[in-house]
Amino acid sequence: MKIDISNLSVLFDDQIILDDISCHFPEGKFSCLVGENGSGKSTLLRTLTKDIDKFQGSITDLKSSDYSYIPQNIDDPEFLSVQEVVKLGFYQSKISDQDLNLQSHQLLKRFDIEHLESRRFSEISMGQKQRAWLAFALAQDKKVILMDEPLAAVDLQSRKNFYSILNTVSKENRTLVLVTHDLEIAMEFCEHMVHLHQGAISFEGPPKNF
Amino acid sequence: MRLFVSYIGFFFIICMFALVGLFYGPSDASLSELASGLIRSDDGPMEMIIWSIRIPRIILSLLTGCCLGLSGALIQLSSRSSIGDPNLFGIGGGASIFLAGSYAGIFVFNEHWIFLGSIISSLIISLILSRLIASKDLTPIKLAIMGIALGTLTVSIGTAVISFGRVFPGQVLGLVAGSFTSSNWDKIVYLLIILIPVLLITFILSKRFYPIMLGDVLSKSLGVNPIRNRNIAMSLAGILSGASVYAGGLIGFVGLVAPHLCRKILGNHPSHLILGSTILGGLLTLFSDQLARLLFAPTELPVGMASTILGAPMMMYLAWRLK
Repeated sequence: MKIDISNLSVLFDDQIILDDISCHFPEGKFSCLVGENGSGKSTLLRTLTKDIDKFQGSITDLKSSDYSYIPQNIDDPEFLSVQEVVKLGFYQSKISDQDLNLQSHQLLKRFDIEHLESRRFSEISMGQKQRAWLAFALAQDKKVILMDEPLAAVDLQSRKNFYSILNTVSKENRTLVLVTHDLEIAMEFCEHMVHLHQGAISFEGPPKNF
Repeated sequence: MRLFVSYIGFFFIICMFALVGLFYGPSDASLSELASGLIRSDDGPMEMIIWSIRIPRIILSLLTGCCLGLSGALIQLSSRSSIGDPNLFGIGGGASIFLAGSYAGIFVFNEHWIFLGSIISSLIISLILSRLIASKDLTPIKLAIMGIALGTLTVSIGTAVISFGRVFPGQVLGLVAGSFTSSNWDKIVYLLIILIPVLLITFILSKRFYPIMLGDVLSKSLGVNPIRNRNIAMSLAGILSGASVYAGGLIGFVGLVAPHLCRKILGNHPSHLILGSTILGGLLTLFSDQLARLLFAPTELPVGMASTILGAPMMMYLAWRLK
């Protein structure tokens, strides 16, 4: 599912956050939306998820059954283990308990965190949490995955690992959009890049052309 | 298998405490006298003690605890707070204000309306809390602090209201610290009317309450309306909590401890969390009441004091583990 944004403007209290921007995020590719703090990248994502509903212009209408969204700074879910969080990702799919256990285990195994499945979610490391959230997003089996900078407090090596995982995930005919301010790593791993500067688009295309 | 053994274990422990409640007490009767009081159908004093005092008290403390345990589980599920407890967060306090007004003679109702009034007062507080949780910036810890403040406030108002009237000190203590001394069969019927339907509704809806634990944004993306489901869960918690205060006053920490114990013993599966918290709440309250009755017999302690001795260290431990 391709995401199109044309002539989008968003205002907050008479302040222009996004100024008449047009861009797209292609299907089957890993896209990064980069820019400094306050450039409007989170606002763009929140407009796509309908968290912000006052805007001008047109955007692809995403229903909640179309996308999974991992926001910035998610609180750790109390009480739940890593496996239980991933299992909740299957909430809308009607599968048997046995399949549920099997599939959530496979997802965790794919991201090398299957040994943590019975640990409390709040006890694992930041890098492991990111991969668990990605497993949660994939469990929902939706065409679009939107992630808002889920990498803030993680060391460089874990970030690189995570980016290369995202790259393979996007190959499964998914539209994957990651919001980040980390330009260098985005350029190394993503295939489509949109760069925002003060609410306007300063670059769109393959990162090698940046 | 492990689950089955645990449930059987709960059953035996409850039976054991029930036997203690039946055969030990201040009347100094021998076992054989008590046993004949249990069976015989003449109107002797032993039969009175057994059938009108001890058995209702055992059943009522059990049912009250069931209400508290289930209410605690519902609050913890929907508020994402590990220290969720109906009486700590002021939900039970709502009912205590109403009951204080009734004891103090500020308004005079018959028993039906007093029961209903307790439930409605608690329901109001639980919906206020539900509204607070829905505001975006309220983290579970902030919510816990506000809940505790609300709890203290309701108890203070209740105490203020009660001091208007000339009320027996025992009645005041029974309300703010919990007591089952005035147990009777009518109260048991009232509690059953509430507990059975609420337990059934919770069972049916329990799966829908789980995604709320991930926070509002993520539960929306799973197709679950967090605000509506939380309102339902908190309303159920309010109804249960009002009923429990009507039956036994403010009994602290049972609603907090029961779900945590349940997770440790039975795991996190929705139906076992609901059923287990209900049973364990009953078990803990029955145990606390026996402790309160017998520890310094013939002087009785408030049952809330006994449950607090068990619950307060647990809360400190949970706070220790909070990040």
